[in-house]
Order: sequence, then structure tokens, then C-alpha cells
Amino acid sequence: MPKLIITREGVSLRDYPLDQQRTTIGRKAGNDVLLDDQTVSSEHAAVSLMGAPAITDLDSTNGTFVNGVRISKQELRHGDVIRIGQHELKFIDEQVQDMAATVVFAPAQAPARTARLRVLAGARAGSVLDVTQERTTLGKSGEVAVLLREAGGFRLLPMAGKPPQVNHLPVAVKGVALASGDEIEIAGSRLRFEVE
Amino acid sequence: MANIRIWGVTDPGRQRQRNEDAIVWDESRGFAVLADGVGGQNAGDVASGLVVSILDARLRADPAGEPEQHLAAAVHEANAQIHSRAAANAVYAGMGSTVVAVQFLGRELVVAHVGDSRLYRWRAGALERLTLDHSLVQEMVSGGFMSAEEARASGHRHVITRALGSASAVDVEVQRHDLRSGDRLLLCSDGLNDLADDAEIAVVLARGMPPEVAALDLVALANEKGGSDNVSAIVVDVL
Repeated sequence: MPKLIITREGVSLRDYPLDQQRTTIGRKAGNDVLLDDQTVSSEHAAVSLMGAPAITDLDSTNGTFVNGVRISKQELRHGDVIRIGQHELKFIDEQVQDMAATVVFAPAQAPARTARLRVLAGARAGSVLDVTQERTTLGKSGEVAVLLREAGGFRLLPMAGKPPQVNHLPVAVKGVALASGDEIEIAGSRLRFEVE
Repeated sequence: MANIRIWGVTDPGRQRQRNEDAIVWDESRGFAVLADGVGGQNAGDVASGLVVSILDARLRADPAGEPEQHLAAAVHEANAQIHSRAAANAVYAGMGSTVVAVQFLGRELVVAHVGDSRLYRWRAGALERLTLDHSLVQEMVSGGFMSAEEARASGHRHVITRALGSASAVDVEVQRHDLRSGDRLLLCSDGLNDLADDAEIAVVLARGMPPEVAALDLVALANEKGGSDNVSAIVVDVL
């Protein structure tokens, strides 16, 4: 889900998930995003997710700025910074990732809990593999995925060939977050993901 | 130090408004640095800008101790600065940068890199990649799980496994190589090698034009192929 990261003078205030088709921003009660700021108009601007994400200035007194440019209506792209009064709202849309953009995989620090893969069927059936690395490669050449240790848990990412299945559903390109008990099928093996 | 000639070009490409790559070099001091920033609005430029300014200042000073340690220390300092600024200011949260830096010493070069910016060497008519990307797909290729062709086509080819600024400490890869007269080195950002393959890059280097022309030609090559990302190239000739 896209969201706004709201900051004031460099201090992070909160994240607002954009879970509606239209989100209003202003100083007066009744707005979805309420900004306590005398330089913000009572109904200042609105973010729309109908079609391409966009922000519209609602004839505010002091204006709405996207990346430093005053706008009346402007399409939003991942990473754009909206300035309203003394507030900045950073538009985050991880769904619409620029395919050429570099992404840093930042591994989580030491895992809070032990994760294991139990091989249910296929080569080495019956064995148990502790997931101790930041990245664990599963499968074989031609049908391979990687298990990533992230801040929020573990993600299975298909890398090449036929995608693996989790609970009998093929995994999408962007990968899937794993929960304890999930069953992974890859390259002729079936594994159960377990977290203590 | 070997007699060298260096020239670099950086360009926003055809589809980006901003250039988050940054480059710096110094022929007389014998170093070149290329950084590719990540992290959305403003922050990417800030991170790559910090990398080149910190390395520029550090590499101008006479090396203290082993050259590998001197270069690595400069990269570690850049990491610490980016990381602390990202932690202190929400606008910079999540910013980071790759780096590839070379320093020339006598008939040798020392190279440090983090991320997917590359160093190539053109020697005796063959192009060789001296750095292995710190990326998910390179790990797959190195492990024998993916072919180089699959890696080039992968939707995850831009996922890097190390970057400056993403943690308080970073693993910097440092190597030392010999230098020979006639060697031609290329530092580049992924905006070049993502669009042009090694054979196409080799064709440009093989023309033997001076670094000023070769660097421009490489950037033009990426832009002819779509220019989907910022693109930078630094060409070094060993005379």
C-alpha cells in the first residue's frame, strides 16, 4: 500500500497509509491527514489513487509543492516530496518500483527467532536445515529461489526458472513473506518453513 | 607512479531528471572514484556526493600505512557519515551509495568497491571485469545457480547486497592488481553495463580514442540504448 511519511523540519512525525481512493490533507478536523500548522489551509490538498497517483492543491493560500515546484495538480512518483506549509510528506509507493532503480537489500541484524527448513519430500527428505544466513539459496540451477532474512521476517524470492510454490500457489516475481508452517515446493522438493 | 591519463563523464540519462551518480578523479594524485546513490528524492545525490567528497579529501593526503588499508579507511569513513546523516534526518532515511574507487601506486593499482559499480580492465585486446558486483544475481551466478544471461535478464538484477550507509559497518572489498603500459581501465555505474553488454563496451574501448572521447562515447552508447538510468564512465589510460 502506498503511504506518506510525514515530517516537520526534518523530524519524523508519522506514516500515513493511503488506504482510500482519495485522501484529504488540511488543518481543519475532518481531513484524513490533519496537519497542526498555521501555514496550512483548512482544506489544503488531496491525494488521489484513482488511475495514476496524483496530488491536487485545493486552492490553498500558501500552495502545495512537489519536489520544490508549486503545483495545482501533479502525478506522484515513488520518492516524491510534497511540501505543505512547514510539513513534508514523502510519497512512498513500493508497488510501482522503477525497474531500473537500484534496491539495497538490507538484511536484518541477528535473527530474533530460529528458522528452519524441514525437507518433507525429495532429495534429503527428513533432514532439517537451520536458516542462519542472511540469504539461503533453494533449488538448483534452472529452478532457483533465495530465502531472504528481512527486518520483518523471511521472504522467498524466485530468481530463475519456474517459480517455486508456497502452499500450492506460484510465488510472484516480487516474492512472498513466509509464515511458520508454510510449505515450499521447489525443484522437486517439498519443504516446510518453521519458526520457533 | 605510472604515467596515467584520466577522464570521466556523468550524465542523468534519458529518463531521469536527477543525476544521483557522482564522480571525481585526480591525475597527479592518481585516483578515481565513482559512486551511484540510491534512496529516492534528494537523498541519493546526497549519499553519492558524500562518497566522492570524502574520498577526494582522503586520497589527496599521502597514504598512511598499507595502501589497501588507506583506501578501505576512506570508504569506511564515507559509510559512517552517510549512515549517521540518514539516521539523523528523516528526509535522508534509507539513503545509500555504491562506490568503486581506484588508487594508482607505482606499477600497481588498489581498488575498493561496494555494490554494483564496476571496474573493467582492457588489456591486450581483451576486456576483463576486475570487480564482482555485490548483488543478488551475482551471488546466484557465482554459486552456479544462474547463468550470466539469466542474471542480465532478471527482474532482480538491481538488488544489491551491500551499500554504503545502510548499516553502521560495511564489508569493503579491496584488491591489488599490477599495471602495464597500454592498460585501459573503466569505472562505470550500472547505467552503462545494464544497457550495454561487455562486448559492446569492449568495442568502444578498442577504438583507442583518448579517455575524454571514450568516456563520452560510453555514455552516448547507454543513452542510445534508452538511457534508463544515470550513467557514468571514468576511463584511465596507463601510458
